[in-house]
Amino acid sequence: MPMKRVTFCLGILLAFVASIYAQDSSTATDNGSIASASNASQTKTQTQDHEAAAASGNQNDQQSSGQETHVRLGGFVVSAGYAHFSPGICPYGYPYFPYYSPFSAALWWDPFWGFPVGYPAGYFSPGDGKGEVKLNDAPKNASVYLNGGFAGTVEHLKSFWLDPGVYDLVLSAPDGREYQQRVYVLTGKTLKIEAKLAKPSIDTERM
Amino acid sequence: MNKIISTFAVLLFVSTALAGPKGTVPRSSADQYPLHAQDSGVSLGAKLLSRAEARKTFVSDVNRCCIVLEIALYPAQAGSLNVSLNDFALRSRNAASATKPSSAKIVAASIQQKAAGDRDVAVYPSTGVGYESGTAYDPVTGTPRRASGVYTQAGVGVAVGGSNGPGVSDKDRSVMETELTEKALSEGATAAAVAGYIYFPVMPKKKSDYQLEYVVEGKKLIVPVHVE
Repeated sequence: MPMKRVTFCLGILLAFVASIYAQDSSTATDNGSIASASNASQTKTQTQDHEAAAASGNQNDQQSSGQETHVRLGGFVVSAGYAHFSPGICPYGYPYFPYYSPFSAALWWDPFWGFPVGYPAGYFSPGDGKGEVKLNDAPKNASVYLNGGFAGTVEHLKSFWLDPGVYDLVLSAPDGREYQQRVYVLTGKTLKIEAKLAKPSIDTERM
Repeated sequence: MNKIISTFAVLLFVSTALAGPKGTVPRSSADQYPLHAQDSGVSLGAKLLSRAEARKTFVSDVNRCCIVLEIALYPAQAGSLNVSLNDFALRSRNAASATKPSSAKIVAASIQQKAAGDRDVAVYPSTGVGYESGTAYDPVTGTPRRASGVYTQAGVGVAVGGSNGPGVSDKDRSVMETELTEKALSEGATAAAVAGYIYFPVMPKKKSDYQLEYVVEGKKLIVPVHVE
C-alpha cells in the first residue's frame, strides 16, 4: 500500500515537471532581441524574455490596452524526511509533522557567495525587485565591467541579477576584444545578451 | 584663472562623456527607410515598428500604449533644421483630428499605470515523501505498539494579487523613462542628419491606415503608414 502511494505521488510530480517543461518549450519562441539604440549597425544584441507575457501568449497582442493576467510558477517544493514518534512525546499527534529534511541544507547554498570581486556578497544574486541579465556567446575568461567597475568574469556571471536601473556593460577578453552595451534592467525581466566580442574601433569606443 | 577654466573644461568633458546616448544612427539617406518623403531640401525617412520589433528594440513594453516610429531627418545641404516633436502628427486616414507624439515621461507613466493594473497569479506546488517509525497507543485497545510506514504528501498553493512585475515600481518607471528618452529623436537645431524614435499614444487596430505628417518651413510632408 505505501509503495502505491509513493508511486502515485511520484507520478504526479513527474507529470507536473513534464507540463512545466512543455510550457517552457512552447514559450521559448517569444524571446526577442534588443538592439542597441546607440548603435544601429549592431545586430540584435539583447533578447528580452517576456516571462509574464509568455504565459498569456498571443493574447497580449490582441488585448494590450486592457488588464492582463500573468500566471507564473511561484516555486516548487520537493521534500523528503524521516520521523520517529514515541508515546511519551506525541502519542496521538500528527505523525507527519517533522519538517526535518536531509536535503534542506542544499536550499541554503548560494552560488553567488564570494563573487564577484569588488561587489558585496549577494549583490548579483536573485532577489525581490531585481531583473536578470544573461550573457550568451561570451568567452568564459572575459572580464565583466558594470558602469566602469570590475564585476567578475563571465564564468561566474553567466547569469546575474541587478537592481532596476541603467547600466553600461562592458565585456573585455584577454585578447583585446570587447563588447559594450547599455542595458536597461526592469524588475522581474530577463535580458538575454548575445555578446559578440570584437576588436574595439575608435568610433565605437563610446556607445 | 587658467586653473578654473581648465577645471570647467574637464567637468564639461566628463559630463558630456557620461551623458547617455541620444536617438539612433541615421541611415545613409532617407530613401533607405521604408517610408520617405522630401521637400524644401529636407528629407524624412520613417519606419513603423511592428509589435515584434518594438519588443526587440525596447525593454519597456511600449506596445501597451503606443505606435512607435523610427524617424530620420536630413537637413538641406549647408542648412540647419530645428527638430521639434510638435511638428509631427499621426492621423488616421480621412480623420479630422490627429495625434501628436508623447514625451518619454508620459509614455513611461502610461506603461507604469497599465502594468500596475495587471493581475499576478502564482502557483506553488509541493510534494514530499518520508518514512517514520515509533511507538503509538492503539486507539481501540489502548496498548502501545510499534508502527512504521512511508508517508507522502502533495499540495498546491495559489496566490492571486496585484502585479509587481516589470514596469510597476517607480524605479522601473524611471528606467523606462531613461530608455525612451535615450532612444527618442532628439529635439533642437541640427545641421546633420538625426534619427530616433517617436511615440504616438495610439492603440492601433489591425490592418489600419494612418498618415504621418511633418511640418517643415510651413509645408507638410505626408507619409502613409500601414499597420499590419
